[in-house]
Amino acid sequence: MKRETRVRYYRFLNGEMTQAELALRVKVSRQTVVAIEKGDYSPSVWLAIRLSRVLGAKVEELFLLKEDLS
Amino acid sequence: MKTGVLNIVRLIWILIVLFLAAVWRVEALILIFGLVFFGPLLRETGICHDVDERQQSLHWKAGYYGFMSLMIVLFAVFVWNLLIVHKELKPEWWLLLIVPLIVRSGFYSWKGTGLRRLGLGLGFTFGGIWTVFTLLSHGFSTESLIESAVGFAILFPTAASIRWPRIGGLFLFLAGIGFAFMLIHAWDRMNGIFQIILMWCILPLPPIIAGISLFRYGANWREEDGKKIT
Repeated sequence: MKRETRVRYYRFLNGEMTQAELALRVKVSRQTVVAIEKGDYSPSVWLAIRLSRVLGAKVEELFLLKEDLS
Repeated sequence: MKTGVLNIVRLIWILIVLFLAAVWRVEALILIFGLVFFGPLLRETGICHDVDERQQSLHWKAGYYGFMSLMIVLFAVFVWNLLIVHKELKPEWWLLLIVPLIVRSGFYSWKGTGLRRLGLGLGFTFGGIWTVFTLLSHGFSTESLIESAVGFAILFPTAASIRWPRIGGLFLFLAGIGFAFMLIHAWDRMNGIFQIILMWCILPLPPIIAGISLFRYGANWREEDGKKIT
């Protein structure tokens, strides 16, 4: 099941941060960032928190539930 | 330890294998299979941190599919040999079937449902298999009753563990130790190393592990609830 994420949007809000730079800062591979942005992989709560801190957004702003989209 | 170090370890292993193949015998190349152990062993023991959480979950998923593939192949081999061409299989084939099944179901019971389920599962499964196997082999005779004592020696303490886990666990453990002594005495009658390993896997180890699990469960339960259960 695909998930809606706004990681890419917040990455661009942060000075067009590259996937590689984000991956380096949250200590994962670039492919993992790609998978998260595409909605192919749901990160653990710990990685989600690290992402939210680096991108300056709340976890629920990065990862949206279906009901939030309607 | 990062990927670079792990790759160096792998490279050293490859060089050792090539050296052995060159100076000893070419069949030593089979040792190249050892490469599959380094990554999982070093990761699971926490020594190596070369993958992130997504890659690790992919490794686990790949391992699961690998396990299922192995089981399908083994299923075909066992059905073909035992049911179609009526051919006995060597102990190593039974080892290939039993060890992954025990590890998989044992790990899931332990982590997923706790020590009690692990102990009861092992005890009832192996006790039941031993009892049914001996009864089906010899029918309902005095001989089968004597031989099925092995199964009952596992089944009764397991059943007792439902109410008294520490006592049942202790008796299961003692039964396992007894079986271990039996096997040590029968060492010279065993047909090769694989039969020895197989017999240890199906006779003393299950009741020993079940006994320890149930005893530990019983000890923890008493401390947590403050109830006297023995």
